[in-house]
Amino acid sequence: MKFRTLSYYLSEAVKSLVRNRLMTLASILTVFSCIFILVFSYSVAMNIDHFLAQLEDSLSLSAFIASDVEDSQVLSMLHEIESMENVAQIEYISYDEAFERALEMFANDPMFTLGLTPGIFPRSFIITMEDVSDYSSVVNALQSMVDNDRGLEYVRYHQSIITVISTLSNGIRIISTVMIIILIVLANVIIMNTIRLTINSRRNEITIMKYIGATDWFIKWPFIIEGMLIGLIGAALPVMIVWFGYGGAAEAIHNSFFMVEEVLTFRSAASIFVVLMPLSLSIGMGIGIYGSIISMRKHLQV
Amino acid sequence: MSVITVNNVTKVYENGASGLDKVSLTIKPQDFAFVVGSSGSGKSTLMKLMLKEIEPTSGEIVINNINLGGLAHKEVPYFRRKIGVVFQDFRLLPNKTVYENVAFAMQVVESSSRDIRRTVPAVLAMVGLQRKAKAYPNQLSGGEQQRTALARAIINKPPILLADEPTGNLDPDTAWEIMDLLEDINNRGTTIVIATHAKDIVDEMQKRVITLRNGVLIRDIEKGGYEDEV
Ligand SMILES: Nc1ncnc2c1ncn2[C@@H]1O[C@H](COP(=O)(O)OP(=O)(O)OP(=O)(O)O)[C@@H](O)[C@H]1O
Ligand SMILES: [Mg+2]
Repeated sequence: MKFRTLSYYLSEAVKSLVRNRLMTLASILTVFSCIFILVFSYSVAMNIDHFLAQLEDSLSLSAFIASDVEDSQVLSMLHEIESMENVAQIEYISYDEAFERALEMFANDPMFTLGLTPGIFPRSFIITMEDVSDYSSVVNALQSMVDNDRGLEYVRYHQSIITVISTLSNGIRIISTVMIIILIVLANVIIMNTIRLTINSRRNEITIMKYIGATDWFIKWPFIIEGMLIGLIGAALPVMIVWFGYGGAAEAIHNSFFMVEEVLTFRSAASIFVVLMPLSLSIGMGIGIYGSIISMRKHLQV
Repeated sequence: MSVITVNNVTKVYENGASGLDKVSLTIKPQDFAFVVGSSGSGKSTLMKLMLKEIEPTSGEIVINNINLGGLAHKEVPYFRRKIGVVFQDFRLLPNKTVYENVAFAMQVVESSSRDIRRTVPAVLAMVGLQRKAKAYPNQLSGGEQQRTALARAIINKPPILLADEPTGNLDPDTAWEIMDLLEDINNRGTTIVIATHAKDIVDEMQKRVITLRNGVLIRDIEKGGYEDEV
């Protein structure tokens, strides 16, 4: 394709966009909403995964050992738990260590530990998992040891926070996927109509072009480029907005949840947008090109 | 040797209307031929068939050694580049200037901008429009609009020019100017076929006259007038 021809296609496409500005705006807005939700939910999901990965290092289960278990039996229990699926690490806390930890915990209020001797705090295993979001298999296995009197007395785990985070993450994923699909369909319908308007306002011109000997593709390219531009603009805007807003939003969340700041960090904008930018732009362009191709198939008999 | 061969062509439209009925004719290189006949006799049908805008119901058409029946859809644009066309209603693009309308025909066939810059002014000068290059169609008289359409039709140097009632919307003087221009183009080597109602022009010019009636070719003379009985 010659550069001159390309610039002809481009200028024709831009002229149409300006001529049907209302429809252009409507098309851009639908693509915008669609890509905005994509960009937003993708950023949130990436950060939630990132948080979960960080939490994995800090979240652990505690399994307390029944008082009737002999010290000699502890080692075989440790091996049993260690061999469970999804268990990354296991640490044994003896009576002495448990006592020391308690002393440390109440160092500021020594009256609570006054007169206590080692043996009062139960021995336990501290278990970290490979994948916290799949904590339930480990918890169930440990719980069945408790229920069947197989040496454990009690299992303690942070069920609530893990459940909340993974439910939230899945919810956001499902809702945004549904919305994105609906919006892609809507965007396609609106883009198809925009291109149809252009085709109608150019019927005369197309007839003349055919008499002059224009090829089908010479006639079609401006419409394809028009759809592509709609998609590209509609996708570039939300990418830009989220890109510039990302740092500020992360900071605001830090400031409003002081605990987050201590424990969790956000993913860098660059690490998210390296995937998100090409993804959004190509989805946007794809929607636009698809819309104009379908519209031409329906309304442009070349 | 002929540039256009129409062989036993019949056209029946989808609604059953008869456009042409077993028409055969040949046009030789550099011919200047009028196609005449009353309204509805099939003149435009013949023109459209020659442009492969419509397909014959039966019979065959060969133009520039190309059998239109065997021409793939993809090949049609390249075939049309070898045929210039003008119409009664000019069919200019209202939002383009005279220069741009003519240049457009070169753009469509992807000529270089150097070629376009060189060729367009020369052709505008040939049709007498060099001063109107920057005007828009609605700022032109009918004659000037048809000159623009003619310039556009010949700019890619087609060997054949088809004109469907090119003077139908023009007053007699202007009509003569356009006919003179067409004769001029013919003298430079282009084969020309004109469908027309302009009886006095046909009578005066004494060229080839092909007469249709109800889709049937009833008369085809080498030199003559609209209706001189033999
Ligand atoms: N698209 C069409 N569909 C159906 N019938 C048609 C169509 N075009 C032309 N006809 C019919 O074919 C016949 C020939 O029409 P055509 O347009 O060729 O005549 P014409 O000689 O060009 O007439 P005019 O001098 O008025 O332009 C007419 O009876 C007309 O009604
Ligand atoms: Mg006609």
